[in-house]
Amino acid sequence: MDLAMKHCRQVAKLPKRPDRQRLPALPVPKLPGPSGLTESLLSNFSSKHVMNITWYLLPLAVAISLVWNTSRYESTSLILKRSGRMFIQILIFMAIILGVLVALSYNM
Amino acid sequence: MLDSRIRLKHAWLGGILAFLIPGAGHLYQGRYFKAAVYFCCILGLFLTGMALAEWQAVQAPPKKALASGKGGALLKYAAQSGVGLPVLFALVQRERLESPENARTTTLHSKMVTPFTGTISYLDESGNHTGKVTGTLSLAPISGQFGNQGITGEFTGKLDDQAITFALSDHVELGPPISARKERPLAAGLVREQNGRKEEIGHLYGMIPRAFWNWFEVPMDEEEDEDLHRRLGKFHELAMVFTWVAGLLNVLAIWDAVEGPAYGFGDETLPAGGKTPETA
Repeated sequence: MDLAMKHCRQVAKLPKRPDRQRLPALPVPKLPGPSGLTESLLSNFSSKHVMNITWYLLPLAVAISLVWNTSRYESTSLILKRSGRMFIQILIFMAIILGVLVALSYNM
Repeated sequence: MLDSRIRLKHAWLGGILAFLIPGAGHLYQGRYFKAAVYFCCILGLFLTGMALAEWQAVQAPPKKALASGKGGALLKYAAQSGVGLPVLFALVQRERLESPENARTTTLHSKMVTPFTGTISYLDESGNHTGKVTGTLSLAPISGQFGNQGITGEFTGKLDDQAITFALSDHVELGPPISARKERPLAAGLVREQNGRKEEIGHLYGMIPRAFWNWFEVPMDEEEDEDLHRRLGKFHELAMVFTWVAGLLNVLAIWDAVEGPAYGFGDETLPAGGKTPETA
């Protein structure tokens, strides 16, 4: 009985729930402008970060083309020649995909 | 058919070595350029991915992953496992984590001096004191009068820019030695000697650094995993891609060590109408 009374007293001392209307208004999120999606796609290339995530594509493409062609050929000169060609093909392919995405998102 | 100019020695041994350490199989076979390419590219990708994910990209899947609905973790690990030894170490770490010896500890094998960050709370003549502290802990094992083992020591640090030194009670408690977190929790009582008797006057709670081998590739729990995702964002996904690609690329390297290159030197003569790799 004593415990129950103590609990009731503790509950009574709890601060009242704040009035909802007095709560500060939540900040309104800034909606993207007319070309928001295009900007966000292109922002990958112009971020303020020291090392933008897009640049990681280059070592990845270099490693993939080198390892792939090393597993195909035995001649060092042929490996290097084919790797260089494959690296450029990867970059062109990725650039085309980026171009298509930018075009599709134009004015979105 | 394999070009007679390519010597694979014991191809199976080359394959095993290539699996364990990318490039090692080719080094054994005397194919030095290939060894260098595989070593630098595959391990380079893997280590870049690991560094991007704060060295937590590799997580051994839980035992009975499929039964517990964690097939995704199994697939991720399978892709990474092509890198060999650096990834297989995660299995060792999983065993160490789940070992019954990996529990909260109140004993030490030898003395330990370690940096400490945490909170302190104590009572002295001038009143209650509470705050964040940084400093150094000197811990040492101790045997109680009934033969029981414990940890004691001393804390030296700063509270509100004031130097403080406290003796610790004989019941210092440390968190488990193995965990994915880079810091190990510690709780200790603070004691003061008065009239020849030790009197407990407060508590110290905080973190000490965990040794690299005690957190590297240790499986994370869900909370730690979510915390890492929150901190790294899209870089976590990029890190995972790097480690997966590294593992899958080493499959090509292992194949090359066992079977030789797909085309050879590129100067082979093929039957009439066939294409040489150079023209393919």
